[in-house]
Amino acid sequence: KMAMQDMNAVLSGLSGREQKELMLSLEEMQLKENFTTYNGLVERCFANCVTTFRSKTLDEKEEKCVTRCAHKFFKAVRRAAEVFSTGQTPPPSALQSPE
Amino acid sequence: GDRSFERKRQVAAAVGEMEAVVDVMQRLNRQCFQKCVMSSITEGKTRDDELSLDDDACLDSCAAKFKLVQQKLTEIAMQESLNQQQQQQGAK
Repeated sequence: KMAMQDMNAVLSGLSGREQKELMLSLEEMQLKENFTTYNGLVERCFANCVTTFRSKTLDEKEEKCVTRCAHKFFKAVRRAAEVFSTGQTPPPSALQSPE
Repeated sequence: GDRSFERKRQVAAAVGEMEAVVDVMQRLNRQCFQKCVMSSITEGKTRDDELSLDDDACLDSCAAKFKLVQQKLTEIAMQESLNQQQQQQGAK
C-alpha cells in the first residue's frame, strides 16, 4: 500500500508525456515478466516430468505430470498473491473449485 | 504525440516476442543438451567429437517433447485465465 501511494505521488508530479513513458516502461517490464515466468514454467515442468527420450510424443505419465504441474502452478501463484496482498488466509483451495 | 507512443508500444511488443522466442530456445537447449549429450559424455559413452546416433535420436525426441510441453502449457494458461475471469465475475 505504501508503494502505491508513492507511485501516485510520482505520477502526479510528471508531465503527460512522462506519464506515458512511464506506462510504456511498466508495460515492457510486465511483458518480460510474463514470458519469463511462463517459459520458466515450461522448463520446470519439462525438466521434472519428462525423463525418457525414446519417442517424439509424451507418454501418459508424462502428460499427466505436466498437466498437474501447470494447473497447480497457476493456482499456487494466485493463492500466494492473495495471502501476500491481503495478509489473510483464504479458505482451503479444495473447497473453492468445483473440479 | 499519441501516435508515436502507439508505435513505440508496437515496437516493444515485437521485440518482446523475439526475446520470448530466444528465451524458450535457450531453455530447450539447456535441457536437451544436459539430458542427451552431457550425460553421454560424462558416462563415457562417446568416442569422438561428433554427435552419435543415440545423441541424434535423443535430441530429436527431447526437442519434440519440449515443444509438446510448451503447447500443453499454452492451453492450460488459457484455461486458467478463463477460470479466473469466471470466478471474478461470479464474485460480483
